Amino acid sequence: MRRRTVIAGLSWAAAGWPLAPRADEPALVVALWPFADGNAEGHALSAIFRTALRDRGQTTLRIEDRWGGADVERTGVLAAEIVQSGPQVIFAFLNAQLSALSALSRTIPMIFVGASDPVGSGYVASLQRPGGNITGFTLYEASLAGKWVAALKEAAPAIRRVTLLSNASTEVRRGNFYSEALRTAAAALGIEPAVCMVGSAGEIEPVVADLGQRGDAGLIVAPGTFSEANGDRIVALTAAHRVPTVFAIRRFAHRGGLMSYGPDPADAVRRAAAYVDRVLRGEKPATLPVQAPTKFDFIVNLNSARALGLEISSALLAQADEIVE
Amino acid sequence: MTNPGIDAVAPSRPVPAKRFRLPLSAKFAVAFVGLVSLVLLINGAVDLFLNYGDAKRTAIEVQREKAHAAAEQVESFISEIESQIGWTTRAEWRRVSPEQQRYDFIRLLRQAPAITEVAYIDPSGKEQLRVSRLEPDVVGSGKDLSKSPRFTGAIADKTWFGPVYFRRGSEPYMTVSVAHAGRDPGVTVAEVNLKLIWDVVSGIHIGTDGYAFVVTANGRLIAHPDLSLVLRDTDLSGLPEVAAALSARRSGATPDAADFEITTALEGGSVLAAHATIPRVDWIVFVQLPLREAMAPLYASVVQTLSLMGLGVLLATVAGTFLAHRMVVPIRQLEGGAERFGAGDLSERIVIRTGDEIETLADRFNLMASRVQDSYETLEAKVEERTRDLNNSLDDLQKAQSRLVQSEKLASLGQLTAGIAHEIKNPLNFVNNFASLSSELVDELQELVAPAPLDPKTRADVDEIADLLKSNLDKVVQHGRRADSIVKNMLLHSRTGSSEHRPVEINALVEESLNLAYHGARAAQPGFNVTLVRDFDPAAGVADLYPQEVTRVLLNLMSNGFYATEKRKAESGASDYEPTLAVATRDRGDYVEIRVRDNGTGIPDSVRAKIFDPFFTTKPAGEGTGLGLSLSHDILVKQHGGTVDVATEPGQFTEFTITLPRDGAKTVQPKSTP
Repeated sequence: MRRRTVIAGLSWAAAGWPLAPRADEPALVVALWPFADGNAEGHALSAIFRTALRDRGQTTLRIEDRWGGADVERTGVLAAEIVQSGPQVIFAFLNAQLSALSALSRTIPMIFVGASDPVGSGYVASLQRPGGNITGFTLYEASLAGKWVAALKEAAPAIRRVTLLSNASTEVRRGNFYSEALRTAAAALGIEPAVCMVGSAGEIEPVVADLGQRGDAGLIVAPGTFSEANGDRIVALTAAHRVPTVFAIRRFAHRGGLMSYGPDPADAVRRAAAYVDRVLRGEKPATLPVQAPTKFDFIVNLNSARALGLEISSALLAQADEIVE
Repeated sequence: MTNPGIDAVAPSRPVPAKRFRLPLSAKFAVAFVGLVSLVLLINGAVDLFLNYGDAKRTAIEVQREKAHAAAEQVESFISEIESQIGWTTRAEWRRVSPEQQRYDFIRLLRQAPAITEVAYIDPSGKEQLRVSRLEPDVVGSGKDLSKSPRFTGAIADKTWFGPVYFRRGSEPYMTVSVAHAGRDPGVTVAEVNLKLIWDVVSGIHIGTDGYAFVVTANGRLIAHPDLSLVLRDTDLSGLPEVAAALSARRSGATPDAADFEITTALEGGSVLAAHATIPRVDWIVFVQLPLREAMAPLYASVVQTLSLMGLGVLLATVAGTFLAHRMVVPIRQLEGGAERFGAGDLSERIVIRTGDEIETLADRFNLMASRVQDSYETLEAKVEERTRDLNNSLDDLQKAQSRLVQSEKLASLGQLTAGIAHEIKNPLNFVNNFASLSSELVDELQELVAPAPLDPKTRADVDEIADLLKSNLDKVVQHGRRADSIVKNMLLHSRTGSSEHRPVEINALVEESLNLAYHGARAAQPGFNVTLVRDFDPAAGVADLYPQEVTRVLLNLMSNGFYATEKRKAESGASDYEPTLAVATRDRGDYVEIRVRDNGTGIPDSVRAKIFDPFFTTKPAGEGTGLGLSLSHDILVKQHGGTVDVATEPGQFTEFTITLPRDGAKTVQPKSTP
C-alpha cells in the first residue's frame, strides 16, 4: 500500500501543477473603501479581505486599496481611476462606492458589500441571478429599522420621538430605504418617527442638539458612508446632548454609542472575498446570487447607559449578544 | 555460422528465397525480453483485475458510508434545531409570562443561529408571540393560523417540517413547527434559514474533490457547498443521479437498493455518487466523488503496474542485450577460431575468458587444434621416415637384385666355364706332356748326333735346328702351362669348399697375405716399391672361414692394388708420388671388416659395374685372366656369406671393403654344398 501511495503521489504531483496565470503579470483587484486612509476599521477590513483571498489560494494576486472616505467627489475620481486601471475585479464597500463604480463599467466584475437595495438601485436584475457584472452581500434590511426603534423604546421607555439620521448615500429610488419600516414600527409603539437627512458633518450638531432639548427623543444612526465617517462625532454629540442613540454600525457601540444592532461587516467582507476568488477563477458575477446576512448582533454599552441615566432592563440585557462595560 | 552440409547441396537445388535469419543474440534477447514481458503482463493483468474489483468495491463502500454519515449530519442539524425548539414546548410553557416567553425565544435565537424567526401559536391557532432577527417583536398579534399546515401538521404529527421556500427570492427557508407537550397543545413555529446547513454540508469532505449536497423530495437543491446554487433555487431533478434516486423512491423500492451510481456531475465529469435519505424531512443527501479520485488507488495501481512493467521490460531488454552480447561475442570468437582452424591455420588459439561452458568449448577447440597440429607434424615426420626407409629398402633391394643377377650370371658362367675347362684339360695335358717329352727327345737327339762326324757346316745346321726345335717346344710347354693355369682357375669356380674351414685369426691371415703379396710383387718386378700401411684392429679376433680361399682373395686384391699404383706411377711419372697400400681390419661385432686401399689410378665409372664379371680385365692381354675379382666375389659372397664393396675415385684411390661374418663359412657351407 505504501509504495502505491508513493507512486500515486508521483502521478498526482505530475498532474497537480498549478494552473498558469492567464497573463504574465498577476491579476489586479482594487478595493474602494468608504474610509479615510489611515482609518483603523478600514485597515482591519482590508486585512481581512486580503487574508481571506490568500486563504483561498490567491497568493500572487495584486490587491490595491483606494481610500475615498466620505468625500463623494473624491470617491468618484477614485472610481474613474480604478475603472481606467482595468482591474480583474473591483471590490466596493457600501452603497455610495458601488454607485460611483457601477455607472462607469458594465463589464468589470464588481463585488460589493453593503449595498442596501441592489435590485431597487438597479445594480442587479434579481438577487437570485444578478445578470450583470455586479453581485455581492447586503448588510442591512429595511425591516431592521423596526428593530432599532424597538430597541430604543425598550432601553428608554420614555421616548416619544425617534429620528433616523441618514444621508443621501443611503437613499434609494423610492425614498429613504428605512422610512417605511420605521414608520410602521414607530406607529406600533406609539412613537413619532422622523427622518433627518444631513449632507455634511456640520449639520449633525443642530439635529442632535434639537433632540437633546426635547428630552423625549431618541436617535437612530442609519448605516452608510456618512455614518462611517462621522460616527465618532455623533457618539460625542449624543453623549453631550444626552440623546439615547442606536447605531446600525456595530463598532460605534464599542466606541461610546448606547447600542448597536447590525451584522458583522468582517463576515460579509470574508464572504465577498470568496466571491472575488470565484470570479477570478472564471465564474460570472451574473450567476452568483446576492446574499443577505443571517446574523445580527445586539450590543449594549452600559457605560453610556449609565451616563445617560438609563436603567437597562434585564430583558433587554438578555437580548444583547455583547455588553460593553 | 554456416552449415557446410547445406552449402554443399545448395547448388544442386533450386535456389530458395533468402530466408530471414535472426541472429542468435536477437533470438536470445527476444526470448528473454518476451518471457519477462509475458510474466510481467500476466502479473500486471492479474494485479489489475484484482485491484479493479477491490478499488470499486472499496470506493462504493466508502461512498455509501459517506452518504449515510452525511445524511446523519444533516439530520442531526435538523434534530438539533428541533431539540432547541424543544425546550419552548414544555406543557407548562404556555402558562409562563409573555415576557418570559419572549426571553426564551430570544435565547432560542441566540443558540440556534439558523432560526431567523420563531413564533408561538396558542392551542386555538392564534399567534401570540413572534420574535425575529430582522423585525420588531410582535406580542399578541392574534393572527389566526388555525388552518395553516404549520399548526395542523404539528398538532397531528408533533413535529412538522414545512416545504422549502425562498425569502426575498434567494434565501432558502424551511418552517419547522413543533407541538407543545400536554393536552390541547400550542405550537412553536421556527423559520429556519437553510443556508446554515451549508456549514454542515461544506464540513462534509468526500475525498479531495468530492462533496455532499441535499435535495428535497421533488429535486430542489437545499444544500450544496456552492451556496450560490442553493440561493439560485436550483432544480436538480434533471440530474441523472437525482432523477434515479427520485424515481426509485417513487416506485417504492428499498431505499438502499441502488444507492450508488457512476454518473455525470452537475459541473461535468464522471463521478461516483451515492445517496441516503432522511425520511423525517423527505430529503435525499447525495455524496459524490470524482471517479478519477475514487479510482485513484486503481489508477495508482495501473500506473504502478505499467511502470513496473515498463521498468521490467527495459531492464530485461538491457539485461537480454547485455547477456546476448556477452554470449554472442565469445560465440563469434569461437566461430572465427573454428573458421581459422577450418582454413588450416592451426597456430592461433581462441582466447575466451568467460568462465563458462563457452570457455570450456573454446578450450576443447584449442585442444582439438593442437592435437590436429601435433598429428600433422608427427605424420609428416613419419612419412619422411617411412619414405627414407622405403628408399633404403629399395636401394637394398636393387643392390640385392643386381647382386643376384650378377651371382646368377656368374654361376651359369662358372658352370659353363667348368665344363669347358674339363673338356680342354685332357687335350691340354697331352700337348703339355708330349711337348716336354719332345724337348727331352731333342736333347737326346743332340747327344746322339754329337759323336757323329759331320762336316762342320752340317753340324752347325743340325744344332741350330735342334735348338730352334727345343726352344719351340719350351714355348709350347710354357704356354701350355699357362693354359693349364687358366683351366685350373676356371675349375675353381665350380669347385667350392675345396679345403676345410676353420677359425682363423684375421689379423694374422691379413698380415701373411700382405707379406706374400709384397714379396711376390718384388720377385716379379725387381724395382717395385710401395709403402705399406697396416691398421689392424686388435679386436678383429677370429672368424670361421676357408683360409686358403680368403688368402687368395686378399692376394688378388693386394696385387691389383700394387698394379694400380705401379700404373699410376708410370702414367704420372711424378717423383713426389708415393705409392701406398693401406690394409685395415675392424671388429664389427658379428662381422669382421677388412679394407684394402691403394692410392692408384682408381676405377672409372664405366668400368666399375663390370669389375666383378668373369673374364673382364683392364690389364693387357696375357697379364690377367679376368677371373681374379670374379672369383673373389664368389668366395666372399657365396662361400662365406659376406660382402665386398668398392669405393673409388678415378686418379685418387680405390678401396675394397670386405665384410665377413664370424661364423659365415659354418652357416653358408651346408647350403652351398649339396
